[in-house]
Amino acid sequence: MIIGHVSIPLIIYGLFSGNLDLAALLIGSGFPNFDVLPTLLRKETPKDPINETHASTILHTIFLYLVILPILYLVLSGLGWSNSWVIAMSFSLGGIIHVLTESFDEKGRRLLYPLSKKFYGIKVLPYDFWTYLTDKKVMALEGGLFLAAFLLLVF
Amino acid sequence: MRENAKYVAFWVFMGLTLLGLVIWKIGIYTIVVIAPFLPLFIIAMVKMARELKK
Repeated sequence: MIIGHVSIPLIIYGLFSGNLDLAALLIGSGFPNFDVLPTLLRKETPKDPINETHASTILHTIFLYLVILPILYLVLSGLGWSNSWVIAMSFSLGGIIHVLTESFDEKGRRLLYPLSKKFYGIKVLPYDFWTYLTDKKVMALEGGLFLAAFLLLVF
Repeated sequence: MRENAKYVAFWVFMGLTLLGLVIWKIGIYTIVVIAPFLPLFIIAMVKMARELKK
């Protein structure tokens, strides 16, 4: 997902706007991609993308966001934030949505970490950046999500 | 990669529209949301521009 990491949180916010913090949801949704740097700097696609750093670290696991949820809540509550639960939940939800939606690419994601280090998912979308960018299936999916987010928030 | 320019244009259009929606919804806090990801975004854009020039 590229645009989906913004459009899906916007759709969820449009549906449950009273219970979520959009800023925290978007930061959570982007947070797993801090492990993308080595992939951005690579010169060519490796033969086995599963071996590269992107989406192979703990940042791309559901487990991390389940751990962050109570910690973030306690930290924000300790700081006196009145909406600490909403922010913590929104951030964690954003991270979990990111991991789940990316599990649709051919690499899959470590959905069952730490129980298993295997990559799971419905592997129907391409993983390589340029292939992903020019794939008609992807354009239809991401374009549809974009349209849904736009219509939901504007009308 | 020049043949991919139309795809890139579509992605950029979607990205800018969603950015507009986010700014509309959370205003100045958009800076807080995008600031941590700016370095990654700039690297990705530079790489994309290089690919398109090939």
